[in-house]
Amino acid sequence: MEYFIDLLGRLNPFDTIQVILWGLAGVMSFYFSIGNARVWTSISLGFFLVFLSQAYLMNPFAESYYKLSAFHYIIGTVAIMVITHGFLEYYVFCRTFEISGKKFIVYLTTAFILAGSGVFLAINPTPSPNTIRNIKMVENSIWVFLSLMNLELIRKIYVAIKDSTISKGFFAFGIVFLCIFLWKGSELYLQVYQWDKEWLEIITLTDEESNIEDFIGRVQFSQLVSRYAALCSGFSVGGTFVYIYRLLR
Amino acid sequence: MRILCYVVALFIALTTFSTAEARIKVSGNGEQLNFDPESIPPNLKASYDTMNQVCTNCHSMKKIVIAVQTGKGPDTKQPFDKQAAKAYCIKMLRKKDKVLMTKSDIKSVYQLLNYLLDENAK
Repeated sequence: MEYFIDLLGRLNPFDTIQVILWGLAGVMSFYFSIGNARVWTSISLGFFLVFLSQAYLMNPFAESYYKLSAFHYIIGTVAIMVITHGFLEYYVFCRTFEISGKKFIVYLTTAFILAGSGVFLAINPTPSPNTIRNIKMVENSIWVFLSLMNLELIRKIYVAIKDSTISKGFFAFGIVFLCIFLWKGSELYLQVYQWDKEWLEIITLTDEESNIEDFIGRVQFSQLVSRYAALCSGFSVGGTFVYIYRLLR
Repeated sequence: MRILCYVVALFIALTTFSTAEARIKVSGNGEQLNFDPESIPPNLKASYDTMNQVCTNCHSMKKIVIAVQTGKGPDTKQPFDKQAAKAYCIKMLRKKDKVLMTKSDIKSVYQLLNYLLDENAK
């Protein structure tokens, strides 16, 4: 308990609010996935997984158990893959009115993928801080790429169903992915140029040089974009599910 | 004859056990367990002093000695190698209480930990 309080004390207010917002969004999306048609299962389950990946900020064990820390980032990667699969299914559904599989299978497959990722981490060496940073960078890359793809899919879905009540909900999803693209994109930018917090911590110990001082303006701007876009994405996901829930009622 | 055999077996077991567990020289016992200051090279003496000064604000030196000797964190039971030492030091960097440990303190302790892990592996 003492450690948890210490951890909360170290969290900056933005991170705390971010986790709370994603927590609310996660509860809403999971509730939505249970109570709605099969076509929404992957999308809502994926957004629930985003909350699980973000919860590492408040997990008192993530800092001491490195495999657990890495697992949080892997959950994040699986989350966007499940969401994208959901939007692809939705697009196919609105073109053909065909949807295959059962909700239970979607839950089971996702659990199976996560369990497989857990086994992968278990049989491999304990990840070093550099490895954890690499896993985070891979997660961000996949998020950036698939966010762009989802924006295009959402546009196509919106065009296909623009006369229906639900179309505005997809417009809201477009805003969500724009925020996510900015959030993950700015983090990835900092990581690629080795201006991110994790890299700077590593080189504090290893005596490597950083050119961060020469580009401090763009670093601060990217940090600002990442911080506010992360907040907006958590907020917009929660809001979107409440909005769609109302539209579907 | 049988007693002699038992004594010899006990002697072999004890000597084998002690060499396996204590590759790095230590001094004291129980909560006072620490790295032997005589075994620290002159260029790392300052780091050793820093370690004794700052790490003991939160835990005994025994914890570090056990981690280095056994290769496992005494609390988490996670592997304690050079990468883990780096991760622990980064964890210390993230602590808000900079009065207890400055960046240079942590860096200095990290260098000493690397040396101790190397020595223990010899």
